[in-house]
Amino acid sequence: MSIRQATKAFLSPAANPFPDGVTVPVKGRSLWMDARTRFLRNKAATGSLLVLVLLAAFAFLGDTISPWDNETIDWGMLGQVHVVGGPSLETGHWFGVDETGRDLFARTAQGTRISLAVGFVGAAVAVVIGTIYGAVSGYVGGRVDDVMMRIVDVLIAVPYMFVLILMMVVFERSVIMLFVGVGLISWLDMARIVRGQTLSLKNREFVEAAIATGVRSPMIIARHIVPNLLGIVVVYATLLVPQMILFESFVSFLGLGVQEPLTSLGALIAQGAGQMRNDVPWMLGFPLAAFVALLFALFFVGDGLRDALDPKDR
Amino acid sequence: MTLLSVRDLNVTFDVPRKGAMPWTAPDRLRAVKDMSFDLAAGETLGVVGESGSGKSTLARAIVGTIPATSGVVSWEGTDLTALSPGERRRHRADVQMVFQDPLAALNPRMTVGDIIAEPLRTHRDVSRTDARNAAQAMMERVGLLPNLVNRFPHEFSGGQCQRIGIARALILEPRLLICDEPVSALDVSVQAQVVNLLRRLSREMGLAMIFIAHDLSVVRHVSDRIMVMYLGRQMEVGPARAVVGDPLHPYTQALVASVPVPDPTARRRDRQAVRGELPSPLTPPSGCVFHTRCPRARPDCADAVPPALRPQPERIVACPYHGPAEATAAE
Repeated sequence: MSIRQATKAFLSPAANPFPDGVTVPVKGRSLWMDARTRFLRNKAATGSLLVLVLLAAFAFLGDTISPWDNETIDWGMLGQVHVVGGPSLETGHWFGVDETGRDLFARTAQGTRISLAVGFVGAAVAVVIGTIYGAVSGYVGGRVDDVMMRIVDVLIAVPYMFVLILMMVVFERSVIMLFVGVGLISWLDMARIVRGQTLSLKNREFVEAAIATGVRSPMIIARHIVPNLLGIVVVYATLLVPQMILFESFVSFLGLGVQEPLTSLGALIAQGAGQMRNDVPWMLGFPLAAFVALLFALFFVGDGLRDALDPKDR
Repeated sequence: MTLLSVRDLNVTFDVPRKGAMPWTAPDRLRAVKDMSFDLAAGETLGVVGESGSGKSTLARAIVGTIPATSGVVSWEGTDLTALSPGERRRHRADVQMVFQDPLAALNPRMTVGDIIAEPLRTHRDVSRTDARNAAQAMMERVGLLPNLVNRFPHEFSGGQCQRIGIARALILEPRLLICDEPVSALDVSVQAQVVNLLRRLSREMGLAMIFIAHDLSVVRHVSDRIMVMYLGRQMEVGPARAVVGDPLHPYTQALVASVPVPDPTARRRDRQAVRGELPSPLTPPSGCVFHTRCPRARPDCADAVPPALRPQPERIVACPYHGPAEATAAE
């Protein structure tokens, strides 16, 4: 083949430049799959994910393997908790008992369950409401954006702890109320973050291409904006879970959270801290260990996700 | 037959003054000023000019992603600028666009098949499988392996991404394709492939094209007519061969003289390249906007906006002192 021919073939490829028979669609590697590979390569994050799974298993299955439940009082221990109430395999109180003789293993499992639930409810509300609110505000822009963001500013300015305490006093103190309170505040920061990201996304050419094609705005938000936001949303949501757990613990520590006989990690830690001088370290130690392990695991997973989803940002 | 007719099109952007109070009037940046031209069905119009001369703004005003401040963009007699957003959306199937940065114009979270099929699913009531088959047929037409439908944009090269962009633009069989510097992000060998692909497809489908570039040699290769823009104004319009072979406006002459010669051993010609930089479009020079850099400028150039002259049929030159290039060199 002469150079001229070669150049011609190169410059104007025929309509069908490939051999026949290549018709099986090739599976593409999505950015999500790449992120998963990067995440699994991160040892701290993968380890923390395992810890998280174990903690969740403990929280949801702990009650069933324990011979005691979280409210039955072991009358034989009452009055001498600091002597015989420690962790032991013989009595069946693996984590010991609390000051009123209730099994601490079952109570810690149940408390972890509440904490996880509060964390994930808060994160879920933030993801759903915060993402939609922020994406709409940022994409529509102009006056709508101004009004929507001022509403968020006002809500952020309200001292939410005060409002929550008032709510707990006015309505009955229940887990549902706690979820409502957490849900009310968790989406605000998410909405701001998502709005900021949307502002930079909506000027990207692929969004312009969609507008030029004639795709409707709700479709553009759903198909082009939100999928490209999900990376940052997932990361922020994972970091929001421990924040919500801390928030719940604080409320419970003040005695305003879940009510007896239910408990949460914050309430258990408060009780344990109150018993410190009575030489019963397990009352503080086990709930605290579960709490710290939970928070560390969540933070590491969040960090791992951020590195995996946003490799440019390290 | 006139497909697209643009009359006195102006696009103005409001630029807030630095440190201004919210109620002070913003500066007005006239990105496109008094632009008029016609485009026949099947014709290719090349638009050239320096960076910042308003080429892309013109394209976006025609497509409708940037609102026109005043003027008329009429499509077969209907004024597109006067339509409601809903009506306008229905017209979008006829005018499609190919973008400069091939990768940035593709949603990184969507598969190539979904990207190409999106216009189809937006404007036509087609099933998922039909859309997918149409996308595969289109991929084959633009020279991509149809079995790559499930791949994602980042798995393709720049040239391939541009082919995907072209496939997306052509799947609705539009009548006008606006290419906004479709090859300037690609390397030279791939440029030629993409340009030839566009030429072949426009011939096969009877497409009219507006082809924007700052590279005169590419534009001459694809265009029937060429329009030269400077600072949002029309400087010269005419048949491609005539504008490049016998430029009349001093700015066009400077552009033609600055086309690089791909021969490293050749002696550098005595170039008539324009001096200086593009003036700020916020404060354009008075009179003829080019007079600050024009080798033929005379004192009265700064006074009045030059009229659009027609020295030859089908040619418009916005310079009263236009003339063959040799006259400039002699001066």
